Amino acid sequence: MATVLVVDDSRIIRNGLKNVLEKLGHVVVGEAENGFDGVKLYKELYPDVVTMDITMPATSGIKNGMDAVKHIIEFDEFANIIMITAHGEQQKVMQSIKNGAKGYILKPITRDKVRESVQRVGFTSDS
Amino acid sequence: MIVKTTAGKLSILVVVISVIILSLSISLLFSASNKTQEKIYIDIKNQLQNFTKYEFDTKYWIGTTNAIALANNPLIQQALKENNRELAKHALSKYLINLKENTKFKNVKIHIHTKDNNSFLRNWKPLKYGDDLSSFRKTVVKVNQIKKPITSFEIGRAGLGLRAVTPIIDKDGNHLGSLEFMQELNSVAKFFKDEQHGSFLLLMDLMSRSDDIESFDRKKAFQQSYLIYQNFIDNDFLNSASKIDLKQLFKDGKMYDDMYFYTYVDIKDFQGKSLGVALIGKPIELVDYAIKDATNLIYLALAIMVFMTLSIALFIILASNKIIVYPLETLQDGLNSFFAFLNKERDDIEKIDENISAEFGKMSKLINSNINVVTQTLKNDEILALKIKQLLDNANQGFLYFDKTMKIGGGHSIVAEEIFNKNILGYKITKLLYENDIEQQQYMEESLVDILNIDSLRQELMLSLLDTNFTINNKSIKIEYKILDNDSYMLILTDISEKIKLDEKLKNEQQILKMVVEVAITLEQFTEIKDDYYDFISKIDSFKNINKLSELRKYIHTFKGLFAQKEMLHIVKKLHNFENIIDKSLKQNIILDELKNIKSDEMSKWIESDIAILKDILGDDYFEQSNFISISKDRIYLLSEQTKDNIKLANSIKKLSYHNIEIFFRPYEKMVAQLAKRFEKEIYPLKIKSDEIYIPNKYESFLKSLVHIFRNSVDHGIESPEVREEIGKDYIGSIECNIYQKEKNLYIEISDDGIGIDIEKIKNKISEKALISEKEINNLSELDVIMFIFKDEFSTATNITDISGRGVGLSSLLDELNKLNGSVNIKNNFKKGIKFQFILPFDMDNNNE
Repeated sequence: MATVLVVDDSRIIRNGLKNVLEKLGHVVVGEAENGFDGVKLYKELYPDVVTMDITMPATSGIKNGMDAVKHIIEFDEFANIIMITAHGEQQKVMQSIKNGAKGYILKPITRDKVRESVQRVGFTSDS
Repeated sequence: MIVKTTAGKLSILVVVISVIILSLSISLLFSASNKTQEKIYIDIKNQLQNFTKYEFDTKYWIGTTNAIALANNPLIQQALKENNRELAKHALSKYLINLKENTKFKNVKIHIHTKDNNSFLRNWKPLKYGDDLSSFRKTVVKVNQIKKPITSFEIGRAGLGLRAVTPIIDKDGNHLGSLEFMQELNSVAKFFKDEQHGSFLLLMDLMSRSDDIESFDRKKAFQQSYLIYQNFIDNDFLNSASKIDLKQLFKDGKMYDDMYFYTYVDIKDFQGKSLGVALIGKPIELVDYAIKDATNLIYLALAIMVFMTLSIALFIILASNKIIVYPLETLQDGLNSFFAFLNKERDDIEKIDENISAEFGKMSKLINSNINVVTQTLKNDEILALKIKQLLDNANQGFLYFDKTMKIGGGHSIVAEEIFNKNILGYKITKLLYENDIEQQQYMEESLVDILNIDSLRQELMLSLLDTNFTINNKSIKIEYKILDNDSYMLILTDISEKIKLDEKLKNEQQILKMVVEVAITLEQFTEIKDDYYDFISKIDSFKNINKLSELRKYIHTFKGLFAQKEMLHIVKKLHNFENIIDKSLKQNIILDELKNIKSDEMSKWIESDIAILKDILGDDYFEQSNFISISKDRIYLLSEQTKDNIKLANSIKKLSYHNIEIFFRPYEKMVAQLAKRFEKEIYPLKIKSDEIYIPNKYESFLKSLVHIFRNSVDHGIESPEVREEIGKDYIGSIECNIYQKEKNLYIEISDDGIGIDIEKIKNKISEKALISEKEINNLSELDVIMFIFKDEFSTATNITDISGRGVGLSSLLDELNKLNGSVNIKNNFKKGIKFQFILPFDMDNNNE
């Protein structure tokens, strides 16, 4: 079981991820719809895992998901951040991983992909 | 030249030390030898002088004692008292005869003087007497004066000699005169010659002579200033000595020339006045013998020392050579060959000689045992490497290696070269993979370098983001990345061109098979569609009119859908292209040339290419069957029964050609499954619930046009599994179909649990396309809005596929429905699903067609 912060500008994706994560036995402790809120919430909630949309509109100095990763890692170098990405965003994912992200999920999001990514950063799922 | 070897250095050290030792000892010995020579000279000088003085001393006491003894002779005293010279003569002769017979003194001279210093008797010249001696005989004067004996060298009428003078005093103490006992030094010279092998020469200083001296032989002169005063003369010595520098001799005390070693003793009278010298000499060869003996000993010592030093040095060099240098060289050679072998500079290896020496032997043994192990290991490694290389070269995959410089290093397999069709050694991998895309090259290089510097968890992630499929020399290559030792990469290249071709072929074959099966099981339907198509294309030119384009498009779209349902390969693509051309013409509002050029015979070729494939598999006459009707045994039985009853015969036989309505839905099962796969949707198998209803042919067109409902349902209705998961629906969607007869109506209900219809979106579309005014839009009921999607040129889908999305499909469905006087109900539940209910008038019994 892991506590998870979901950062995504799409409500549908957030809900979808939340559904999947909860079915896998994890607890979504917070949701943010932009990088700035994501970083802020991370500092408040200290979740085990963060799912981070790679492309989000810039807010308050945080340009996108890659940038948010940098800020979170600056605050906590051991943060487990999983990028949510679509086809054709390999370079952005590469940059995010260099910034400190520890995993990525290529859309469409499925239960198996989520389970595997969370497993990779050290948290087992219920089902 | 710089000597670098230990052997050389050691030898040089030994030689240097030997030279130092030798020069030190030689200089020491030379100085010792010089000192020895000097010391020997001094020794000989002292020896000669001491011997002389000893001889003088002996003569002194002999003279003194004899003189005293004679002075006490009563006859002599009496002779003096009585002035009786004969008496004295008599007394002396007796004494002298005695002396001559019993002693070695053969040549003694005795002289008696009166107390007033006149000669009384000379035993050697008895006739000469009475002469006054006082002028030159100081000793006589002195003795007569002090009445005490004096012995001293003195020059008298008889020359230089040792004279012992003693007073003659009678028993009453009367001084009567004096007696002189004279000795010459001839015996000393003789004695020197005999005992010392030396020479003695008494020289009188001419300066000291008195005029009263008896005549002297000029021949006896020596170097002008001296007179030789002895009878026995060694002429060799005299000759040599005549030439020496006497002044120098007196200064140094000694000297030598080729023949003799010389020294001297001063001759003085009792008052210390010099009278001459005794020149003493010794043949130089005798002196040299002594020196030679001594120096020979030194040279012998030196020779022994040189010999010893050289021997030791030589021994050390040889021994070090034998004990250290040779074993070291052997060991070095052995190690060199071992390392050369290790570095693959040579193929064979020699063992090191273990008998070189105890310690080195141990080392050699140790190295040899390692050589054994290493050669075995290397051999095993080589075999393994060879096996691996064989494996790699014979594998269908290519292998290559590179480090962070991206340059391909050695060891890549033959297959890797074959893939790139060149020797890739030294090429940059990024350039090989992205030949002309510099941006991608840079990105890949950066990524590959970054990956090496990151933790293993993220290495794997980043590797998974690199491109894996490349086209190299027209081949499809799949690449697998492996990190070796965290500092280099191995790439495994697999040529998947064949696999892709095979997959495509397989896909094509499957497609053909699907077409064949589909056509075979719905042969009648297919034949009808095909006939309709031929019928349609025969009139194609009549549609090439700007006003008929819309109608043409509807036809083409329907045919496309129908053929797609039958999994036709070529014609679907062709019709799709045709549709595009029509759309283009519609947009430009002219009949384009490319549309004009499409003629009926070309269009018939489109389908014929598919039919050719079908005939190839099913047989040429397979399609002829469609003219026959297959009848089950039960129905033939029923027919025969009914034939008896003549009235209903016509109707019944007609009904023989009716079909169970379900068979028109059976193809949709497959279609839904296939479309689901194509659109990456998860959909349960189509659920068909149908009463057993036989329907006449006129319904068939309508039933076929239901294809558009199913397509829309799969394409637009059912959400993607992710979305369904997100919104909490079962990620597998379902489409159901319910067919039943109620009273005189046929009900066909098609429902799905997809997203339904977004009324607002349709309204937006309607206003966007300005199909009606804004005001009218607002007054539309939900059903009215939905009915718009059944209209021409309306689609909510943003991208058009060759299967659905042009809006054409639904409008043609509506056309068919109207032909049958049917109606439709739509139950739309946005986000939950939609249900279409088609109601068709149907009277089984009174069907008069």
